[in-house]
Amino acid sequence: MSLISTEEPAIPLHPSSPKASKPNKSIQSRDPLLLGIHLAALISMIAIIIFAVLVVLGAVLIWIGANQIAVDIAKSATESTTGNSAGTTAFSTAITLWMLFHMGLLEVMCIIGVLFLLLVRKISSSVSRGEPFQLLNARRLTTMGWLTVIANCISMKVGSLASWSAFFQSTFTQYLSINQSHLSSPPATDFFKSIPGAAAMIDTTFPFGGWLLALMLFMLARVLREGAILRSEIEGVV
Amino acid sequence: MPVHVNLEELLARRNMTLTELADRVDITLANLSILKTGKAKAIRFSTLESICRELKCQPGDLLTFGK
Repeated sequence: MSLISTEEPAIPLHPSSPKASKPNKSIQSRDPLLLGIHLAALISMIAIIIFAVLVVLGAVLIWIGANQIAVDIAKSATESTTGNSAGTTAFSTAITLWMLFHMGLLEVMCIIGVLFLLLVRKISSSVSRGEPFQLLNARRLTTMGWLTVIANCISMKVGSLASWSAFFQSTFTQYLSINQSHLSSPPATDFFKSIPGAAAMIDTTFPFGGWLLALMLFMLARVLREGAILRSEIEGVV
Repeated sequence: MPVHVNLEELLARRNMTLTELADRVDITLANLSILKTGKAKAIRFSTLESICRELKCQPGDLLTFGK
């Protein structure tokens, strides 16, 4: 035991600081990237919420007012083909329900978007606290992956609906162009045309990259899980 | 835990408190008490070195097996 005092100067001095394994919090919290992500996610969330509210308002308007436009379109179409207005109501209801269904899907997409961004914010704040490697973050990433999968499925569904509605629209506009003179409300044509256009827009916002994003998120979740295991191992190191 | 940490005994023999040791070896008091209570999963060589230096003991004095 006494030997140690003579040997001591030879032993390199490494003052152990067990807390050094924790990242420097002050540097992390001033990271402009994290701050940027935090702000961008917040702004996007607000934008999505405003959009979602507008979509709800639009759906209400369609239910109240545009229902009449659908009736007009259906009426002119059925009259031009059959000569009478039989089946007009069913047709107009179909158009209205079709529009509302698309808006419902848009709402679901909005909810998914907000949840996704909420998780992004939670992960980024955990990084700025200096504890990104935790199982909770791995679970968050997995959830984000599933949200992406759902969003992809919806956009595919909307895509198939869009192709169906394109057929629907082309047949309809054919009728409308033939019976342009009979049409009482020309703005209705524009209104109707705008809806499948919107559907096509949703379709193109989620290309193949969406599936890749989901796979990346699942992979990153595994990476984080491994990181969390390593982190917990180092927790007990003194 | 078959490996026992004799930190408490060593400190008592030298009339040193845990806080004093923490100041001397530059290890947080929290981590030293983790070590003292035997909750530590692992010990760094650097930690071992500095404790042995300050308590003027051998690693074998600090850690004993099957006690």
